[in-house]
Amino acid sequence: MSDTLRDAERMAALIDGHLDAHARAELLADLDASPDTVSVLSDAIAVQSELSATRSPRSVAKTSWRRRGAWMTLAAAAIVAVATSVTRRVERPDMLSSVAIAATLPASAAGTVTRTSPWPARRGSNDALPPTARAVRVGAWLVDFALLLQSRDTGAAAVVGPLSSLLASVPAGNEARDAVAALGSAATPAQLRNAADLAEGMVGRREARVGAWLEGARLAASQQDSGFFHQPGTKIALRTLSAVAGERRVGEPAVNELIALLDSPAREWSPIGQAIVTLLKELGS
Amino acid sequence: MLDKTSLESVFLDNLGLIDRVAACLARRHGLSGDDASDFSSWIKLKLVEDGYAIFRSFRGESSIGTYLTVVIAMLARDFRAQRWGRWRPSAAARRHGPVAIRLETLVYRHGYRVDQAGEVLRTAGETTLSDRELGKLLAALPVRAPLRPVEVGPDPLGQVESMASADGILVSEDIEHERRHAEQTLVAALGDLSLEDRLIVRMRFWDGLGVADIARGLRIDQKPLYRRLERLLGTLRQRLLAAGVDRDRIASLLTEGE
Repeated sequence: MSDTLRDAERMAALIDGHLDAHARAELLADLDASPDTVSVLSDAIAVQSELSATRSPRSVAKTSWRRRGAWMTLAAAAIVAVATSVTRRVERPDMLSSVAIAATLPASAAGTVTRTSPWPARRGSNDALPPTARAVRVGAWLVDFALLLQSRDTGAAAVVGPLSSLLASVPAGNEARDAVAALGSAATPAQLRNAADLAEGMVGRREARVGAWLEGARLAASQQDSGFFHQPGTKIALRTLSAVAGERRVGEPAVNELIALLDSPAREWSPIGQAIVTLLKELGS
Repeated sequence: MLDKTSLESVFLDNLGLIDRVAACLARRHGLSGDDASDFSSWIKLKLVEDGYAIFRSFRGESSIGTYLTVVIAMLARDFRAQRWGRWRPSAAARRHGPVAIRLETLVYRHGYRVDQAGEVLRTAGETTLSDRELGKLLAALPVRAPLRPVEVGPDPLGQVESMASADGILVSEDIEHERRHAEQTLVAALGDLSLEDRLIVRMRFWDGLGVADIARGLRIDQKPLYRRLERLLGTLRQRLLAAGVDRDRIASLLTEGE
């Protein structure tokens, strides 16, 4: 049993992109000798794909339509889905929402949230922050909160105070502030999604998601989690990051450095982490 | 090491994921209704067995969600073997999707006629295909015999039609022989590929995974993978043609479809 579970964890590490070249080659050789195990791996990959697809409106529809085969419903819903999908791709890339980003991080990253935050003093005058910086911080803190919450870390409640105070400085931001303030360490996923959606919408979704991605990337880099950077959202995040930095004329060299580091086949975690922290500091100030 | 309460808490935290993974795997393995419910309960029993041994063995080398997904996929294989012996959905059925898997299971595993299977599938909302369309789908799958006796219920055996004549579908022994020859040639051709190429081809054509899923699962770039698969397909087609396998058979073995 323990060998089987060890194999399961190796396959899971392969799917998550956590195996080095040697361990990966070893696993592929083992798989080659056992077609049954290849099928297990295929099943696991297919399940992950189906589950992630059901989180995306485009694919939810695709799966259920295929099952039901109701052509009239298909035609009507296709129009809605295409419109929704296009809108979401342009304005609301859900895979870059703070909650979605937190869900991709390993639970072990929760331990580094508060210890290594780029903004150690989470107090002070929020009114003085430029709106873009405020949005970047909100996105980043939402990731911290979601990660701590999903890891059942009691530190989650401590993030709520500064986050809601940041939202209180946004004109007409009371609804988002109240939704965030109501979150505690027992918040449900639905409450979290609702509050995060309101908060991101209030401060500026694009910038908030840049902050969310940067914070996710910072935590992933601290865990040397290369899987995070292989996700489909990475390219979109880097493009948006580059655009936001360009508009503000802040952090452009760090963006270019980060892109070059991520393009490099060898992961240099320390410089990657430094570039990300620089960007969080510069764009969040 | 985590104590039992902490392990239980990890189990409870992941209960939603466990249910979703079990439901996906049930569909993938052609389980529905009571079988799918039994499978889900059995999975949970296995996960809590021996003081949460599965959770205790987790070393954090992957995310817990992915680990549980792989473990449940392994358990699904055991469940299927326990219930049905070595019977499993054919590669062709997997390539054709969940309806084909269910149809194959109902006909070849449980001994239903095509019209009976069609009624079951349509009643459960799993398909809107007619019996004729299901018959065509079944014809694209290899003919199989159940490994264990099939429960036929109170109906006398004489009333159960032969599966081979179901809904007017005839699959001759010659065709089956030709199919086996083609599959054996394909297996031999695979032996000449690199380890990773072989794995990719198996996942694509045996297990019916999409290119994007293979790329994600094996952590390889998706764009070059399309060209790579095209090249591999070319190589395999050449080998099959050289061995006298006809083009229709090659197409049915190496059909790409998401």
